[in-house]
Amino acid sequence: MSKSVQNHRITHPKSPLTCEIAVIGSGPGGAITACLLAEAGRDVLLIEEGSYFSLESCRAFSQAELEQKYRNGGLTAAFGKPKIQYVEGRCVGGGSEINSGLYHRTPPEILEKWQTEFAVESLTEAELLPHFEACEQAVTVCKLPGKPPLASLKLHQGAVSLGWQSLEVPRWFRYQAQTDPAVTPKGTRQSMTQTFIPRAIDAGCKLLTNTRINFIRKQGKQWFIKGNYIPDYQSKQAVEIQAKTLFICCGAIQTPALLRRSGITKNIGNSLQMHSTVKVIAQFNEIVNSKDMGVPVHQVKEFSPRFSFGCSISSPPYLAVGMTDHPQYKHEVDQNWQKMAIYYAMITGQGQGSVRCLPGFRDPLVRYHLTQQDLKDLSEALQKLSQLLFEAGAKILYPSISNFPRLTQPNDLKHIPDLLPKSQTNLMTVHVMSSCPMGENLEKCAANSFGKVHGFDNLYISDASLLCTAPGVNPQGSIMAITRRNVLKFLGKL
Amino acid sequence: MINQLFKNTASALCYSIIQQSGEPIHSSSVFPHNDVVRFVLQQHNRMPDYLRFPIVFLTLLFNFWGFIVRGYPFSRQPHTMRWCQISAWKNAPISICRDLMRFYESLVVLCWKSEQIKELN
Repeated sequence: MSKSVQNHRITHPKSPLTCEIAVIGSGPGGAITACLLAEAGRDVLLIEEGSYFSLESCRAFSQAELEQKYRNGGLTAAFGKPKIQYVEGRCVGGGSEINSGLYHRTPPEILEKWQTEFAVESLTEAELLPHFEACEQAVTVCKLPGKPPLASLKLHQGAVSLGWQSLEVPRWFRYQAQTDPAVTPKGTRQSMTQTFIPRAIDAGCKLLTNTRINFIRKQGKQWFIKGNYIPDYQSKQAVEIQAKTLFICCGAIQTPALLRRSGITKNIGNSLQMHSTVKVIAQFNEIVNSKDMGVPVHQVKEFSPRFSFGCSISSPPYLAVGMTDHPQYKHEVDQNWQKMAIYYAMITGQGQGSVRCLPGFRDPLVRYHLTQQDLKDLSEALQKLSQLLFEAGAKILYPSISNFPRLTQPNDLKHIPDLLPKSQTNLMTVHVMSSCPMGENLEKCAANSFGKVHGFDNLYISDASLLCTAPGVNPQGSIMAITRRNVLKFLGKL
Repeated sequence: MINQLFKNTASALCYSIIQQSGEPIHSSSVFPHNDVVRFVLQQHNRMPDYLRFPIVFLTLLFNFWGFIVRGYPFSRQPHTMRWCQISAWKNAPISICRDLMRFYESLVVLCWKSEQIKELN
């Protein structure tokens, strides 16, 4: 932790804390909001439930990271048929500290859909462009300057061979200068603790970590924010914060949960969306994996927006967990993990879910309903991904369907049913959004076109909850650009 | 007492899953089984609060199920008998039985393999 962060971090909060603007949640939405407001000279307090960890505090995608930085240790699921496992960050920097940093701008057709169906104002591609560019510069979005991981190249080769569109996705990453283009380059992942949070602190923003907010209440012209400061497992201290303006940036699950706990429920937590994802472990004859494989960067967008494909983190522990769906072949991971990699097929989907608070419990209940069309899309996506992987030279495929036969030749693809079996299919997602959509359509939207909660003064949402629907691509580029746009509007600079 | 019985059953489950993987530890000075059990119990403590009691309840039911079917609670069975019970629950028609086994198996495998990687490094 830098000296500047140490100096601006509140370690023993004395109630009531007062500030002009309180920002709850320090993921991309909260960190950018706090940064831009502080840089505009506002008195800002950034509140985070998790602890402050540097990016180097643990190995990326490791068990230690799961324990340190994930909410509920990564054991979170949306209930439905089938269940969908999802993950959220719970640390300073939020989801930006635990993801791959793959970056996309919001597709223009999605922006058009949001304007038409949700009546979002001033959200054309041209209007968002300066915000995309500013955020891309701030987090160093760039393409890999050297050779991509072999497993990533396999996906690309399979797509090219079939004549399907495949692209290298840029990442938030600061690469080390290198001269050998045949080597996968090293560098530093970028995240909020590397970028916007130090900027916010340098501009005078105060940081209160380890503080869970239980509810918010408006009294007169002030927002009263009540929570608990929990620096360790042994101690807990009640905290009250008073602020004139409040930004809630806790992510697509925790933002609606906090609002609903506080009695604010209109269009809140009713329209959750996620990119449901089915995985396949592919086994090749040659080596495609290594201990320092890095993040695969190719995605196949031939069937976008319905579904797209990519390659996942494929370390031996992840491979071994994936292979629990095929217990008779688990020895293959021990013997051949270097020839194996995990691939995914992700659908945009039409399903919706909800976020609800359960009386007497701290954590919200998340439910999700996949439509018949979603299940068909998942099945078709799995078939097409398997076809691609065979084309790329895969010898054996293990889909994430419990006790489903492994696929050893293209002819086996006909065994994949038109609707994936609900009781056996294991789905996951790393993209959750749209639980408090923005727009002027009062029947659907929780907040206005710039994130102000309908019916409440000085209360704003600024995170993935605002995205009207699932964008079909990694949403963090959209979250960052829309956050910047909304904060500049708040500051009267738009 | 219930808490201890839960920990004993969870521990027995972890040991059985590790033993079934049949993989030797590379160094005699390392015995990570208890680290795995500790990780699984810590993860249980981290999971959403409304799920913690159902996991405890189902784990105790799983232990008692061994007594009903085989005359011994799961935690006191020999390994082969334990593995038969795990397999039966993994393939049970009731999804919560499969989910419980998946919960334990995923965490044990993740931690066990991570320990192996650490040791190799």
